[in-house]
Amino acid sequence: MPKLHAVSPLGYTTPHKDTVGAYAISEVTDWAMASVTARKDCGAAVKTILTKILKQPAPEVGGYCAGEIEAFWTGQSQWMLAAAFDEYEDIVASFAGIFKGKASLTEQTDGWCRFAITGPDLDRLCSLLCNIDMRGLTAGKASRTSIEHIGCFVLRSADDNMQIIGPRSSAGSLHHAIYTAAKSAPF
Amino acid sequence: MLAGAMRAYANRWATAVGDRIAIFANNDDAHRTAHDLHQLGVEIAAVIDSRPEAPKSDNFEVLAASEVVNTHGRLGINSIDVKTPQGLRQIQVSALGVSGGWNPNIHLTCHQRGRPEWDAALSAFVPSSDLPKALYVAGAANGKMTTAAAMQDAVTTAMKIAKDCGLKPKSLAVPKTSDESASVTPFWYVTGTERGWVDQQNDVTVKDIKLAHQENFRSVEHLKRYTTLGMATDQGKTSNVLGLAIMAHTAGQSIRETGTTIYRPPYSPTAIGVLAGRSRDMDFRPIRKTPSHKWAEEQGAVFVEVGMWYRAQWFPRAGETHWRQSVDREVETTRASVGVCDVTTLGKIDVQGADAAAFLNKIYCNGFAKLDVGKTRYGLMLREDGIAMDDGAAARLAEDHFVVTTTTANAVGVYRHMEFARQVLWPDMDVQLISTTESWAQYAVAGPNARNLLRKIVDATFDISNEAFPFMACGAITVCGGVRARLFRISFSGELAYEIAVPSRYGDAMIRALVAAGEDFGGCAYGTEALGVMRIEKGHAAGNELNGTTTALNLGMGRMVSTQKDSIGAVLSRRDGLTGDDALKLVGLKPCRTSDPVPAGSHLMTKGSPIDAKHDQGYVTSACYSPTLGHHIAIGFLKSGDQRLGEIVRLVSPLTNIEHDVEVVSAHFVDPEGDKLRA
Repeated sequence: MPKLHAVSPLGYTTPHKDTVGAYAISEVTDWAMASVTARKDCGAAVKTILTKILKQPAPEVGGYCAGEIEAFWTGQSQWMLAAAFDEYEDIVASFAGIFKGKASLTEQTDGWCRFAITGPDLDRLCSLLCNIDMRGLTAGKASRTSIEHIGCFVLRSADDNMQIIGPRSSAGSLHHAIYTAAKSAPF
Repeated sequence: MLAGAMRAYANRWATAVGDRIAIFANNDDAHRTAHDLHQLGVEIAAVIDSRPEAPKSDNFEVLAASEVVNTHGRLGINSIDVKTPQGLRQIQVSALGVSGGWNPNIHLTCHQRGRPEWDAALSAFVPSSDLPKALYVAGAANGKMTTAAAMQDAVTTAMKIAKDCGLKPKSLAVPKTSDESASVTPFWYVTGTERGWVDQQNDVTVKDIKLAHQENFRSVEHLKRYTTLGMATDQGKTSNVLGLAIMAHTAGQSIRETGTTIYRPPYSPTAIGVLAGRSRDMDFRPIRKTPSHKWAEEQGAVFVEVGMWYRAQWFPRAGETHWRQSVDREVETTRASVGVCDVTTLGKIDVQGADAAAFLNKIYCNGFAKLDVGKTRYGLMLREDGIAMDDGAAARLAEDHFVVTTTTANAVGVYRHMEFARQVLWPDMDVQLISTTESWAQYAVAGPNARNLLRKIVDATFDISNEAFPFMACGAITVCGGVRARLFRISFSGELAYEIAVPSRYGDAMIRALVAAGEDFGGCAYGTEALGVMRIEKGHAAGNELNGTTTALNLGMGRMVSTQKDSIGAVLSRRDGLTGDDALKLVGLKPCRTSDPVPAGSHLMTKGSPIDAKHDQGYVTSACYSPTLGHHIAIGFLKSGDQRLGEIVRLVSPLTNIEHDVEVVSAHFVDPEGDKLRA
């Protein structure tokens, strides 16, 4: 029986990394992700459960909680939950018990590509990519946006560190957009 | 050229636009231009000022109460004719600067629909006195055209802003400036000339404006569009006031009565590319690649754009010189043994919640409430008006968990439709939706050896025999030693077929594993063309049939629209106009002479009737060469088609000179009883 080897969204056997001037653009493939949507009338209960899992308050509107297990807000009573792939590959099975039917969990791990971007002046880099008010997207914030016609999430973990999550099938196009924006520095 | 431009060239870039220059003006500022040029060593032939009280100069001649009435020269000016109170004079020049005075930069004040007001003293438009909240204008933009006046206005306005913010500002001293005169007397155009240029960018003349008036294009909006006045890159900065004044003069009214257009951003000419984004050509819009894309490229696949997806149409092999050879081989191989096709692009929507089944029961026109867990069902969804919207298979993975598939083209539209229904139509239902299209790499494995192929892939702990995993079964399995997967026994080709899904990161490896396993049976990969051929052979409707005009009844699925429940579009699908006895019905068509094609888009006519729209009986939606049957086939819609099997009708395409006989047959050319897919 053949063995199946995983490839990254950009098609590499190991996550791809680019250095463009002062910027590092790195594919991130070691997170498992699941969408968590509260079932009817369970919004508060799900927030409590998320708080327990995250060991910090569940993200409010536009919020992003970084950590060993992380989450960001994606809609009304809806979050994306992420945890280490090696430990939580079957992420829905891993967390289904904790939510006890109060939320619908759907595996999202391979629906997305994720790029970590580090470097200076990320606000201006991002302003070439999308219309987010980056001064408001401080550490601990997340926003949904469109980057070159691709629906994405932008997560900010620090002034010099952000993550862009976009649909896996468009990983090449999204990477191209980020790469060319970084090449425009200094802005 | 504009006198101000001459001054800018000289002062900023040390460039003289001519060695002997005349200036024609109606204002004091133009004299400053002449003065600056003279200081820099440029010979000033004369300043021609339309005002009788023009300032005098010791350095150059000033002709007061005079006008330039003509110019001479080819590819440049040699001389000008000047009408002076003393008579006509010809003056040799190498350039002529013209100046009608300055206009305040009022553009920003218009961006929130502030309407400029005419200032007769200034002969210009100034910002509206009723500006949007918190918008203040000071200086020349506010019509204060000298440095001293601008400084004073700045101080006054700053104090006002501070007070409006609730502050108590200390008084400010106005900086001292050397003041200059900004006197201007309106002078709109030279009378008696053949052409007086108004918009120098768009070549609009006084004559054009008078013609617009004559043709009754008199409002400023009409004037602009009739003449293209102010529509060049300067957006009327040099011509608008002039044009409006001439229109006002011609119409015998004031400029205030004539009015003005307002301005929209951008203020400076801006390349459209700046607005469109940085990327162009292949990077202009995103590309969506399937998990098997890299492998398909290695096989030399010919791709087709489907939305933003790139899908493999066929996989040419050595010696195949025409696409039909590849497609025929792929169909024949699949029907004889096994074929593998990437179907990842089909939309997948995860539907969960206590009311998931009840929700789908309302979305689909056929019943879903009683679908057993572990089973898949074909579903047809209608638009509110009863027309077929999309179709697909919905698999019940748990009591409260379904996966709905949509067509590739409608994935976004169906998701939006379902979200609308969930949020707006039935907000009290306990239903959660999310797209999983990209999460799973999904492959169709079709053909009599499909099960044998899968036995090499699916872990042995899962029984995929016909008894344990019959037609329309679905379930979670593992493959290749523990990789999580989903298996659906559904068939688009009409063959014994499965769709197998693995997390997308394993999609590349999976296509390689499936094709390698298929080679043991002489199998192959097939692309969207073979997929299309096989579904036409089987008589399955697709986008060509669900074309936004057809109903379930037209599609031969009228009885699927359940009367035991309500669902979106069910009531309106039963409208009289959609259910007449002569309603179009999906039929198969085969040529009476087997060498004839049956091209899509052709129309169907009863034998002996005239060929015109009045006698139209239907049309062909999908056509192909069927390698299985050895001739062309088609499916299409024919009036009362289900009652006309065996009838010979005429297939016509007047545009392409096609007319021949075809036989109306069942749309199910291959395995009409469905024995193969249940094998």
